Amino acid sequence: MSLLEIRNLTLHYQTTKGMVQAVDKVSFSLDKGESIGLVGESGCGKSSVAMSIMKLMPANAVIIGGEILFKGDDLLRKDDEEIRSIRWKEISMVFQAAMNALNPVISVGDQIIEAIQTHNDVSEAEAWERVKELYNLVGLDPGRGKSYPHEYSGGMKQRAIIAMSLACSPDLIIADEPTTALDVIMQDQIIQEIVAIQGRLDTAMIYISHDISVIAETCGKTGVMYAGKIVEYADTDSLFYDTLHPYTKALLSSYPSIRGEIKRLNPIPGEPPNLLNPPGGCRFCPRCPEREGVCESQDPEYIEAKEGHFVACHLVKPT
Amino acid sequence: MRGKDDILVDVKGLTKIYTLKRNIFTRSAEFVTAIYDANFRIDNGEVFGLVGESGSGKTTCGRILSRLEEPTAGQIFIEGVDISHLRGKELREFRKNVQMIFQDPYESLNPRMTVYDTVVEPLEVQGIGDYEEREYRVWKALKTVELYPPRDYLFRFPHELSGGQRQRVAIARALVVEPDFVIADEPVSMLDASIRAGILNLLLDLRSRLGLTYLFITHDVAVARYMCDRMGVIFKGRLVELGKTERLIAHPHHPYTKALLSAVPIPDPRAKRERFRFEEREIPDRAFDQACVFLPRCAASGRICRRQSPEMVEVEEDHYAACHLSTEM
Repeated sequence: MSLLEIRNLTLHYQTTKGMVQAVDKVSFSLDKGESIGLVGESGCGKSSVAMSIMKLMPANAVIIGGEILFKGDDLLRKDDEEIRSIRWKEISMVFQAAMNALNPVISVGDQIIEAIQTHNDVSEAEAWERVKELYNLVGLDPGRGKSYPHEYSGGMKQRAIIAMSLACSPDLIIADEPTTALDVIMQDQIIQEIVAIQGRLDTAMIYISHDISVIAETCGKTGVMYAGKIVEYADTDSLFYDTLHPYTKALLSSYPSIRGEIKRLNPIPGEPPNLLNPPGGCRFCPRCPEREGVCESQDPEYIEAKEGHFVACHLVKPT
Repeated sequence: MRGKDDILVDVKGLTKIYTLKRNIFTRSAEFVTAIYDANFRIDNGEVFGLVGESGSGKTTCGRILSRLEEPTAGQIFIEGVDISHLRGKELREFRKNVQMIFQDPYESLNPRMTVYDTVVEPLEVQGIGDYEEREYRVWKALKTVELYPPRDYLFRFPHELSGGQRQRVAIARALVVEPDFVIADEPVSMLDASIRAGILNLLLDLRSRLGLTYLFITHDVAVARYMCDRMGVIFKGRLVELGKTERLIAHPHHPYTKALLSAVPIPDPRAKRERFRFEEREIPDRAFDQACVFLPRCAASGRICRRQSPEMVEVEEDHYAACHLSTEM
């Protein structure tokens, strides 16, 4: 049994203009200790997937269908009380702006203690010991536990948030753009830290980013999302070197690198579709350089084209 | 070697110090040095990049070069004229030749102005052309930035445009007065990769088609490599390294440049990176300090680094670094 299995998750947002079809039949699974990257551009639904695992969707979100099985239980069927006991203890999350969510008038250490004591019956002294352990783990000076958030730099705050997310030794960490607000050197250090800790503690991780270079270096497997769907999913190496979906190909060639020959970047013409009224066939069809007649009328199936390599494209036939 | 005529912008000793708090009783004040003693040149027709972290002073540099702000000290020669303290009519004249593109197209465009009003405004301010001429120029500028056909866009408001289209409108607004020099401050950092690539290609195409010169300000080294012929690296208000982009990236001399480059993720799962050692410490603002600005983080610092702030020295042809140890490293 997988640690987490998402089956056909479909989520819409109710807005005054109608239903926004933000997540459409997303499926993937995650084993213990595995790391999966979800990559895609703004509005592709990657954060919505993460939020639905934690059941932290905004009030106007409607789950249309699907299951999120965590250790065999469907999280979508659990009530708030049950979810609260799982949040942080078994599944924790690091957000992009999490460092700004620290309470400015409570010391950072005390905030982590609060998280620990909410889920574990431990004394204040034991909890402090745990904070010190966690600080060492994420590369913070344990002596700084009594400091307040304004005394920390952005990178230190994000480390503290990671410490907090590890406080209850969760089985799964969801990291949603955890380094996007940081400078590149700080980003690199935090990512190294996350990968090292994830490996050491054998925690499973879903890492969400708009930046394929970060995903390339961080995750064993990668799912590419476009307009609410996973269009391609494979181990990261195959995804980059044996790319099947035209959107993935286009995305990869739109990134500059500081290595290798400078090739002219390939922008993708047009804009992502409006999910209030997504195109009838393949959602990438209007922008796709390889589209054929069938793409306009029929939604491609999500198939396993090669072993462990899934893709939703009419032009890719299973081998 | 290039002659003097090839230099479009020549920056000498550029310094900007902001006064934060002034205490009238103790007659003391707190200062923040945004940029200190920067020297660089931008050649005609080139893309010159300024790369640095947030708060390094790169945006201040751009704002001074476009004369949105005045420098505290130093001179800026553009086509041989010192523009650092221009006023009134001369300043307006200068703005015909120098235009700016800002980071956030969601904020830089007035939400109540149509595309036409936004793009025509600089012409009205400058008093260029009559009504027909202006209309023609706006139409041409929209075509230049690939908003086809222009008539579909003229009467739209910013909220009816996507991020990429808004940035194209901002570029059209900058180009409508036909400037020689364009300062682009993080023009693509708010855009998704697939849209960003289009804007970068557009800027490069415009450079060759219209013979523009750019100052391109970015935090993203990979984008800088794609765009820039030469670049400067800024750290805490100091220009620490300056040279041809390819050479600087392949063979950096300053320890900060090395650390920065070694932290850039590579979009290739098979790529291996060696990290350049770097101490993570909080850095106080120490512009008036004698020590090297990079000292608190430097893993290789020697005794001289504490006593003396390093000067920019030529380490290779047209490649400068401000590090006492750069020749040895």
